[in-house]
Amino acid sequence: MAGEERRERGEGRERERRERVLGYEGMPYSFQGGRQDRDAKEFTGSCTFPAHAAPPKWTHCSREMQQQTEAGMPANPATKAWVKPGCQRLKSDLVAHNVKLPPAKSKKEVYVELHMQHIDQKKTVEFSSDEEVEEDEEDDMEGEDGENPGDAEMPDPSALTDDDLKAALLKHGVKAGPIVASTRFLYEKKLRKLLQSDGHHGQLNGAKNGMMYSDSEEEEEEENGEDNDAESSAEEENKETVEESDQADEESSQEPVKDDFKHLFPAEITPSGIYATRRRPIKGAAGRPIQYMYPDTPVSPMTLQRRDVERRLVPVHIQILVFVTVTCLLYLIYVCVEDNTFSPIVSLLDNLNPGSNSGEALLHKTEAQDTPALSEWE
Amino acid sequence: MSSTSQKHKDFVAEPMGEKPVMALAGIGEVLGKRLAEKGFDKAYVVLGQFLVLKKDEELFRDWIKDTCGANVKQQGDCYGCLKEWCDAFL
Repeated sequence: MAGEERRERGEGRERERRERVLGYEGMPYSFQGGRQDRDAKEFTGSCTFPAHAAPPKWTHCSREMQQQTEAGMPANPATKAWVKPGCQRLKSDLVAHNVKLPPAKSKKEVYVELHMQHIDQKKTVEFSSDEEVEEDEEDDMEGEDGENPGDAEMPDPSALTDDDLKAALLKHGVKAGPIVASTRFLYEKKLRKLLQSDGHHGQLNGAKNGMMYSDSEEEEEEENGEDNDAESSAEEENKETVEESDQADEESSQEPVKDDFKHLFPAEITPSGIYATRRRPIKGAAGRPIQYMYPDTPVSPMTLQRRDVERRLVPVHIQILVFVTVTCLLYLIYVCVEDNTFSPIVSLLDNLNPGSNSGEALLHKTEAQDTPALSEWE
Repeated sequence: MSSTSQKHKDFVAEPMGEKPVMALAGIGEVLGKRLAEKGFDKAYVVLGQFLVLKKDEELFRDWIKDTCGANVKQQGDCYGCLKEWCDAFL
């Protein structure tokens, strides 16, 4: 009973957290969209509170909900409702949590069992304490990877069922069309490519990052590249955190709001090719401590281009200098032309006019000069 | 793909009806034969595949490369002509 209640609270908090994150960012990023939808569905399905009323209000009332659950109102049926969503949902849930699926035709009980084993368990640990959420999450991933290493890292796309394949693609932000005989191979290939590119970045795949809707303590030097270190250290702390989780529960009843979205939006190209840049917080605003130094904010390609252009541009003082020089030059030319107005033309005309008169004379002269030459030739 | 070929214009100009797969821009004798061998004998069958891939360029290019070994230009021609046809007639 105590465990169930804790699980309930964990769920409540999880919802709250996700909603807060979603509320903050507005999520203009399509790759998040898919998950968001699914999450929303999950919640409506598995929540004990009247499903039609709940979703729009959650952003505001999740705290009350949590209190309700803590008051022990519908705790028992809630747990049941959570464990017994439809088989389909169980499946996609399992896929979303990177749990290896049993053979396609296994009974629902198998799924339920897996669900209990992996996801519910995970939640109690994962959301028990806010200070340790991040470590716990990484921990869980580590643990799962240990359990079925091949599957969690690189699930073989050809072994998945059509629905699973679709879910897996959705996890990577790809909205797959109908997966039929003629398209399946392509989607498998796509998934494989996505998995590979994720592996290339040397980090957990995008969906896992997407799952890390947490507002946990910011680690000073938190970077994606350092996940490995964090994981290894977190592994040792795992046992402690599980034991501490009970007392940590009480501590975390008022959650500190920290602005940490860095790990949500790593500066990299997402599988869908959308650049997700983190919004910069207004430092010191609304009583926030100026505590965190953000190194380089990832900038959008447009900004980069603009910067490039700016770099290519000549500094202003040089521009002015060139302008003045050109103006002087033009003025000089103008003055020169002004000085001997028409003089070149007049002289040309002078040359021509007498030329027409004395042209014959000239001709005669030239002829006279030429004739000896010609006669010599002849 | 700044300029379009005559074949492209011809294809895009009217409903495809029962045109053979070779009427598609970028699909010539050789590729047409390969496609026909795999069952894609009419242009509308290729259109079906194009649509079932949700008009996704990347996936369609992949598919046509795998199916008949079209090169990048042929892929682009074929995709462009189907896309434009869809914009006009769908």
